[in-house]
Amino acid sequence: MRPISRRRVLAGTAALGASSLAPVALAQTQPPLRIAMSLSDVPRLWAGPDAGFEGLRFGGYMAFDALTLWDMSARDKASGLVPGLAESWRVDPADNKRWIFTLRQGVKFHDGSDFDADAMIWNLDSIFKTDAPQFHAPRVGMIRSRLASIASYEKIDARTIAIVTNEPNGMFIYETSFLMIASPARWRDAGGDWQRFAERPSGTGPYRVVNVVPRERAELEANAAYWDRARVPKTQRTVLVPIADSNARVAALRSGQVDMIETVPPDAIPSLRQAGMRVDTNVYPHVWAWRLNVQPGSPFADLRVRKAANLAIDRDSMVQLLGGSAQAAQGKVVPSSPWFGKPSFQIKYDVAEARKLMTEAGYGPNRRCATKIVIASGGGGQMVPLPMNELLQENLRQIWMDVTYEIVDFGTIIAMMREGSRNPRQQGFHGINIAIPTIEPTVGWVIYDSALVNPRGVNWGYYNSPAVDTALRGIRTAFDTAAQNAAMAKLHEVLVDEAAALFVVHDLNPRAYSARVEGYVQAQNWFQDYTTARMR
Amino acid sequence: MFQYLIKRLIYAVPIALGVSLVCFLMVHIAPGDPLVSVLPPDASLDLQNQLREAYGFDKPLPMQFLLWVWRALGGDLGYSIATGRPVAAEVWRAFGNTFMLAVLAAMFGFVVGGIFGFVAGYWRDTWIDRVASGLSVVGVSVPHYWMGMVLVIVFSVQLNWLPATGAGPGGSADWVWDWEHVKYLIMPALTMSVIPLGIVARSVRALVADILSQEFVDALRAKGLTDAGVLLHVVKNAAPTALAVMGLQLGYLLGGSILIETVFAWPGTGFLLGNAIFQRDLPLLQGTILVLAMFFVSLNLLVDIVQTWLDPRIKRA
Repeated sequence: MRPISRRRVLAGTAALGASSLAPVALAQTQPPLRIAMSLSDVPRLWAGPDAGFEGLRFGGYMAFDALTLWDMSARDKASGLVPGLAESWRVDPADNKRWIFTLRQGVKFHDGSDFDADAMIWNLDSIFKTDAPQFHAPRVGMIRSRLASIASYEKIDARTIAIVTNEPNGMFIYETSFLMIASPARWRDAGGDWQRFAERPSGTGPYRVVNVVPRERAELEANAAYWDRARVPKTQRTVLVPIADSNARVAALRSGQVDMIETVPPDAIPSLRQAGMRVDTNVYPHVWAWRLNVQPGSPFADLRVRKAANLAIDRDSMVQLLGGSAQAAQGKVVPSSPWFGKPSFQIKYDVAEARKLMTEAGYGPNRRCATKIVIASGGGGQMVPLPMNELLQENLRQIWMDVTYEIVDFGTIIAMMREGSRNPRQQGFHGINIAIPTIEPTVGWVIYDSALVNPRGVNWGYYNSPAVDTALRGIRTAFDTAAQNAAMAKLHEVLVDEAAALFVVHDLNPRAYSARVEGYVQAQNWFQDYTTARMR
Repeated sequence: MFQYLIKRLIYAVPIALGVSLVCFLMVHIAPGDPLVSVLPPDASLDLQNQLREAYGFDKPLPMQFLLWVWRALGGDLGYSIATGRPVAAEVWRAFGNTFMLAVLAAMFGFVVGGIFGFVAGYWRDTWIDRVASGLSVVGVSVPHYWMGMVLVIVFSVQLNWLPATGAGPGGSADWVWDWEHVKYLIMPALTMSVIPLGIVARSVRALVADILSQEFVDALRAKGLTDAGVLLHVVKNAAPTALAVMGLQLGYLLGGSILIETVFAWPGTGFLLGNAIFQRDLPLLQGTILVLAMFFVSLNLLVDIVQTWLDPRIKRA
């Protein structure tokens, strides 16, 4: 045996040290993935983010998990729910309002504390128990509306909880995807202050937040210990940069300041492609539509007028106007969706048929139909509302419908939608142009429920159809996926056959990224999975 | 001088109160729901009412105003609805960023504008005057956000010399005065300087031309003063008015520019105001406007005092 010299020991130690440092060095040299959001600020990272679905996309699912998560692994199929922090769930056979969740074991928060039933109940208390120390009203606003069915909850054992809904609701499981779970230990470390928690958040998600500069950036690091090994981020560091101005986002991408941008303006798509950027589009649960006022006195109270308006829209021209970043709508969801069903009314461009319907409804060249629509100058999901509505105005003129617009900002249109069209200051408005998310069976679907008018809900146009109400009840009593899909398809058929709205296009949500970004899959969802993206 | 100072300070009190009242009323009169950023569109009325109470929007307007003024007197401008962060801290951070931008823009705009104006006024009605005046008219007329976009296209997208947006590689929190950071400041500052440059140039030109046509200048020349000596007198006579113009312009610059700061994603007061307006963030909007207005009032006061010091006739008037 050769004697071990001091030199060999030192060389060996150095080699060992170098090899142990190698991953760190690699991580440090790997360029970060820099994503420009269209938000004006970093969303609040407190497991109940603001800023709508984009806020939830970046401030929610990246750092936190919910009981159920969206499967965002494929681009060619609608994404459904998969187990998240709940490994499995079932409806109590003795009480169909009681849902039992088996929690995933061995999951740790970013701070090292354990996720278990106590943490779960603590999180539910933070939303529903107004006298709990962790209850914070400003945080609850965005969350509780998405958890409207929860009546009570209880811990069964260390890995099992039960949630009771206020009425039988087969679609309750979708609500659980909005319930992000925060670390109680980190909240206590932050002195019981959610604001401080948001500066140094801790969830169980695939990314841990390492730095937040308000209004400027959030820096995230891959959570190497993430429980779903397939979703451990391929990029060690990800930087989220809020750039609200669309031209500034495009410039930032083209100058190499960021690697990926959200919400590409349609007119920038050709130049980005010419500059060697990739522009990815995919359908997602969104429809750009006019919600209609169907009260007596409104032209849209007449089914024939609603159908005529839907037949008068040249959607191919609209898609062209949008640089191909949209898909012509044939209903609330795309025909490939399991919720599309088989509506008997076909939404297409048929001016002759539209004129026939208008004539039957009593309109013509000498008796024109005057309508007034509220539109927003911009806002989440609104695409480019001004030129789009100008095209609709031109199209509808062909069927003797004269449209005038009341243009307001996005905040005002939301307030108006909540007030409902019977509000005195909304007299004379026949429609309101707000994009509709159709991701799950409540958001965007219950707006036609006759019981959910102001102040109980946002059925702005006082839509009142026994067939729709029956179909809505049908979706609540469907408890398995096949039955749910069938019930949703039935509801969709009724809504299309009744031309419940003026369905125009589905946004294809263009995202642009540099050729250095690889592996990103744009899912058919409002939310996206960035864990597969890596930098070349 | 001391009495004058006290008098001006006393005048500032009703102005401050008036500004507070106007900015409070303006943001409350504007349509829209202040809770739009913290509630989803389909939030129930119960939840809306709960939050309205939590933020104090359920109280009558006069009560809300008094409470706000009372807290503001103690330095508490409340909390932003959209971010939950203290308004005072938000405004202070943004003001620091705008201050950097404004000072650089002012330095460039005032120096170049002053030189352009002086040259144009001194050689009035010559080709030099026409070139300098033409450039200053362009400065006043060109929409600055458009110019910002053009600069971005040329220097960021095409040449890749300067970054298009942001306030440094790690954000403004890590700001240091080195090239890696200063390069983020150049294009927004240049864009911001264009209007004051034009205004200062035109004002100085008119002043210089006017002073040169006065009889005392002929007297100076008759006394045998050199051109440099005459220029010194012209500068001294033009300074108080030019200073007043520059003071006002600096005030505007320190107020930030919603458009420029949005185009360059520069996290200053203009950017903050833009966000507050779109999010209906009333506490942030009120707080930012109040701080900027107070700053404007203070700056005017300072300019008045400096003017009085430079030209004691103003005090007598």
